[in-house]
Amino acid sequence: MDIAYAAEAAKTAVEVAKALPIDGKVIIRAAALLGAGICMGAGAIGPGIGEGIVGGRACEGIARQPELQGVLTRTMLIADAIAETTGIYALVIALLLIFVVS
Amino acid sequence: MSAHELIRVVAFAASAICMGLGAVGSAVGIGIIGGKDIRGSSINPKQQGALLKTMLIAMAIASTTAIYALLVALLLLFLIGAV
Amino acid sequence: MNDVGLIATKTLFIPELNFKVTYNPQILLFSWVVILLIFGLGLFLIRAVKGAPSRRSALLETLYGSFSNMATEAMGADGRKFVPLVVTIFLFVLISNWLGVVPGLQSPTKDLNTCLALGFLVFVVAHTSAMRKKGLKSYLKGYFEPFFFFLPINIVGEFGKLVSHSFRLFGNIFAGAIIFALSGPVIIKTFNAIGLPTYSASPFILGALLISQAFFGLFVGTVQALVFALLALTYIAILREA
Repeated sequence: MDIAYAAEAAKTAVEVAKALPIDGKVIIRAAALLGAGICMGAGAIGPGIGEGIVGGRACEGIARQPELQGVLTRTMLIADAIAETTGIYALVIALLLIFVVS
Repeated sequence: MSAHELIRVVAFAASAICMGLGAVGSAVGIGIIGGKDIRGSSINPKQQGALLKTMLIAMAIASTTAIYALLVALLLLFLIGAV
Repeated sequence: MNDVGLIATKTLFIPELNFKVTYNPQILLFSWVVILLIFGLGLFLIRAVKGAPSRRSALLETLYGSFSNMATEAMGADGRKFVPLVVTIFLFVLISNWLGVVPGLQSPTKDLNTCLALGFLVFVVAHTSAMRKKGLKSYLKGYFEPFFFFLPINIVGEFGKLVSHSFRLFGNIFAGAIIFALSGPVIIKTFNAIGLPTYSASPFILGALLISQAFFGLFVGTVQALVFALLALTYIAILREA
């Protein structure tokens, strides 16, 4: 008897939620989601191009002086790790906007 | 339109914008790496093996931010845009 | 995403100790499968240590020797004590990336917990060995390195390295798993919408799965495993140098 009543209550709760009108909190949540998408999208442009330039110069440097391959690869990886940080800032803000804004 | 539907609409739109913009940067970056690798190969053809290895590592790292954008787009699509 | 089998969690709840943890039993099972496979590979290769050079010993030499060369180049002679860790991490990531290509199995690295655990392991090893080698004062002075006000930038940079290291591996393998799980239903729905019956879609599904798994599974899995291990070695080397 209790289980049937709980199922009925759950179903009406879902229907009520689907019929909620649009008010301030919903618009805030929608704007936060849109902002998360724009943030991560635009924030991925910069590090992509930057790491591309770093990798390209590393390839050319290895072609000019193959003995320095180890040093050049390590320098490229260090530069990539630092160029990555702004991309991570964008990822953190996007995840915060999705999960923390109610 | 109810609240539930508005959130879904915006989640889908945001997912599309996110992945669409996020693919721009890493595509340009990977293209630059490939071009410089070809130029390096033509300067020093004997080093093709080492250049190939360096190019693959650099491309894998340059595509990382596109993967972050893919993650956010998938989150918006499936976790929030689900029925 | 529960119905495509991408996230399946159970909760372990002990009320007396007020202890609650959520875990994913599929991923644990496949992590143990990877560990057993690595043991099998080790037993297979150990017989190449004695005796005449053969294909097995060439494989062992290529695998261990290339990482050993990279380590001594990066850190000098005492880099050799980190080579077993790096080779183990490389083998674990490589085999678990490849495991997802097989239709019935799943990769442990498609879960964020596995990737964060590996990244955190490398983080802890790098920082503690740098503290031991350089002493606490010199290690802390390294955070003020180019200029005095770089302290917050350096701290955030260290956490950024950890996050990017793990998320790169997770994102690539998770994207492959999603493509594998969703390509079937998407093609079926497209065919149904056009009006063709479902069974005529099966060669297309098979072809799409083969192509996508050959690319995303094997190639990307190998490259990401190599990048993960190489970056682990590089992070240990950067922190240890004066």
